[in-house]
Amino acid sequence: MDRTVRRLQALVFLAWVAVAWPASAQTERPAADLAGAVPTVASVVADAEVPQLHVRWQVAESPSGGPVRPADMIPLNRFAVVARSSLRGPLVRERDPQWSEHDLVVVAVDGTGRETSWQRVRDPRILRAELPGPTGELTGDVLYRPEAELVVVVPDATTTGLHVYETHWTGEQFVLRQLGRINVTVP
Amino acid sequence: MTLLPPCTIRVALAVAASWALCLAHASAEPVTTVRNNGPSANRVDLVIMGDGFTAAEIASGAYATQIEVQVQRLFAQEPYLEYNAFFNVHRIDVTSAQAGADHPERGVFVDTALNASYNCGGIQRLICVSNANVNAVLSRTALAGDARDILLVIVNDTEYGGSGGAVAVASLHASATELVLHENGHTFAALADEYTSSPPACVTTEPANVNATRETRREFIKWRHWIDPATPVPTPGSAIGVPGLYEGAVYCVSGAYRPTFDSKMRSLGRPFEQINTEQHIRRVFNLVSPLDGWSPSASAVTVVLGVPTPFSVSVPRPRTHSLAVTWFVDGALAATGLQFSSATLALGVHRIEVRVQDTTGLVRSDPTGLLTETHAWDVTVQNGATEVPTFLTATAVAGNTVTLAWHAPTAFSPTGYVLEGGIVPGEVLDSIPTGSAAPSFTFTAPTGAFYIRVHALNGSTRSGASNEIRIFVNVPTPPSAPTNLLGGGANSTIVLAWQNAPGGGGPTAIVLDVSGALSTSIVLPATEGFVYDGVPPGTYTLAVRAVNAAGSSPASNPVTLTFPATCALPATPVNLAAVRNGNTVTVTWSLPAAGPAPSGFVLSVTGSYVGAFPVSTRSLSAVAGPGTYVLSVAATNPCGSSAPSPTITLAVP
Repeated sequence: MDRTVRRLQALVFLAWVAVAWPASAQTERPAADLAGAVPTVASVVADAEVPQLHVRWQVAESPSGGPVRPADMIPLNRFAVVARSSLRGPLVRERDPQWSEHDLVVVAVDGTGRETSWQRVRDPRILRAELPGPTGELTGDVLYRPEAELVVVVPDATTTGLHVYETHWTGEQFVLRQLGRINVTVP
Repeated sequence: MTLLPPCTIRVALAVAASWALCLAHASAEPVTTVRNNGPSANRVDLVIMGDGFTAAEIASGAYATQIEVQVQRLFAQEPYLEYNAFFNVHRIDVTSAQAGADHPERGVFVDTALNASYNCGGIQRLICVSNANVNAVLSRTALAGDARDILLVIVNDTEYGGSGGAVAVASLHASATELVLHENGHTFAALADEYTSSPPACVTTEPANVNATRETRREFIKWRHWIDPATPVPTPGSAIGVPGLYEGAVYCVSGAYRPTFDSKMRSLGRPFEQINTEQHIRRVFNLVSPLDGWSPSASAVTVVLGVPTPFSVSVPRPRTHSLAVTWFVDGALAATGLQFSSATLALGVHRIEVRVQDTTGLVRSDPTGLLTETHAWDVTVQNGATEVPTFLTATAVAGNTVTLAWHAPTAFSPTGYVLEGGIVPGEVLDSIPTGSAAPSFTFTAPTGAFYIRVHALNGSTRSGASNEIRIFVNVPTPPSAPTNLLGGGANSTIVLAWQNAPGGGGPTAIVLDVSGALSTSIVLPATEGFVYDGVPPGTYTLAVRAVNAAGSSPASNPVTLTFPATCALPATPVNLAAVRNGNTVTVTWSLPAAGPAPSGFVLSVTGSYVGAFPVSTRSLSAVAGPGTYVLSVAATNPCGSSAPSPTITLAVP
């Protein structure tokens, strides 16, 4: 109960400020290393309400304003919090989480830089444009929205930053490539 | 062109604090759970919201009907059909100002809540929606974090179209359901595309997905458990539904392989086929445990030897088969089915384990055991000495000889009993083994008043104490309270019966306590019944007490009886007479000679005038017109009216 009250107080009194922070040099780490060392967000938050941030994500430049091919795009990866809301628990508890290039991984860190939890989020950039031909056989493309909204849970009041990673398969393992960081500070 | 919802406009313009308030203050769209198969914590939850549906379409039910059609289409295909009970479906009623979707290619723009638009990125059949608006709708709902596993937007337009990604989008076109299923294959089941056209670029490394490979050695193929040894690999031909190694997948014409010739991950209108179906089921079990719940909830349980304590589990149920439920005791197979009884467990500590497994033939490989769940209890079986004797009573006290009786425990057969007692409650001044397994005991007690209780023995183990009673040995003691007081009444006669209890001192008299319409206490002999005729009307509560020289017992159980008042009609008035003075007529009569007093009278008139005149006096004067009048009178009281008197006739000229 106390924990719930603290979360609600955090919702009411704290203002979340995000600082655009594109990854200047792409860092990469094996996804399995993260899963072995850091708990999932569902295992660290209570079943009460948790704050979540709505983050406007400028993905890439798009002269036309429309979707772009990942291979052709000039990435921006600028993040800005535009709203917050609360999410009623419990969160999803997977029995056998699997990595997928359709998902982002967001890692929460505290003031000491310690990674406190991670969460999987469907990659909001992705637009799959697949069309059947006369026989039903598909053709298609995978595009990115030039701008998307990312919704992430802030697991607790000690969180000072959220690191956003995309998931990439190397042919042998999944690695996490950092796209940026959302600073979460109390003004 | 679609107008931004007011909230979005504020988000775009306002300062951070206002942004923070915006989503919380918008009103939530109604959510209806149209398929409820269990708690979201153990189900896959599909959330469907519509775009381009107006308030009128929602109010008329047309929107709900369209969503229902989509849900039925989705769950008409395997493995969604077989595992439909593993899914919940929630419909969010999102209202748009206008119906339909944007068609920029022909200059059609409508105002919809989620901003659905065809021709997204210049691809005519690609429908995009605003994922920020979808997020805003979701944030306003009360759906828990674990109740939104799959998101689907249905666009109110019959032209074929849709898209995949974090949110699947489909139009009302019947074939769009196929696209949704394909896209869920990506986002929910992490399946690869099995078609060969490019872009996207051909995948030149070993894919992570379970349904694509560059491996051609049979023993290393991911889905080798599905390939018949007689099927060559790579697999030539175009046989439908035959697992093999078919060249062409993940946007590569050659060098990459798919598991079947033509599945839904390659062509719409096809089944998922074996390998993709297997993966779907595994991902369903990623979110759904085969074990919904269990009882007892505690992990450590103590049971009584020989007493059947039920253990049970609840499980989700696929459409055409049941999950296998197997019970083990200390590792040995003990039973199957949803319930297990501890009745056969021996004394000691045991581990009861239940294993629930989906043994479907649709899954041949389950490397992480997703289709199996176990739960275990540590069970301590004690002998029945934990059950205590009950209903201890003193059946006789004669001099210093006391006879006791009680009800034996039923969970075990006691080997004996121990009587213990003291002079204050709970005190143990002495313990006396009865030396018998019989639930009774006669012994010689010292003079005095004692509190006693009895324990059952099971070998060297002693049960807890029975109920405690007080016995009086050779000392005055008030009687025990009479029991089973019963009462009845007819007219003004009351009949009571009770039983004088054997405990305590013998009664020398009985006191009947009466309250209600009157309050009194009536001393009766030491009897067990009472009859009285002439009870005044009223409602009475009655109880009896037994008394002797040492005092009074507590009161028996009370009974409440009601005796209604009797009612008698008055007799008929007499001496009815009428005199005329001009046009004025005066009628008089006398009281009846006997019977209840009238409270009023009714003078009845017939002839030239017909009517009745209720009066409280015994005369009535009135001006009468010419004519002939026939008169009679009756007396009245609250019980009714007497018979009318004989008539008299009066003529007025």
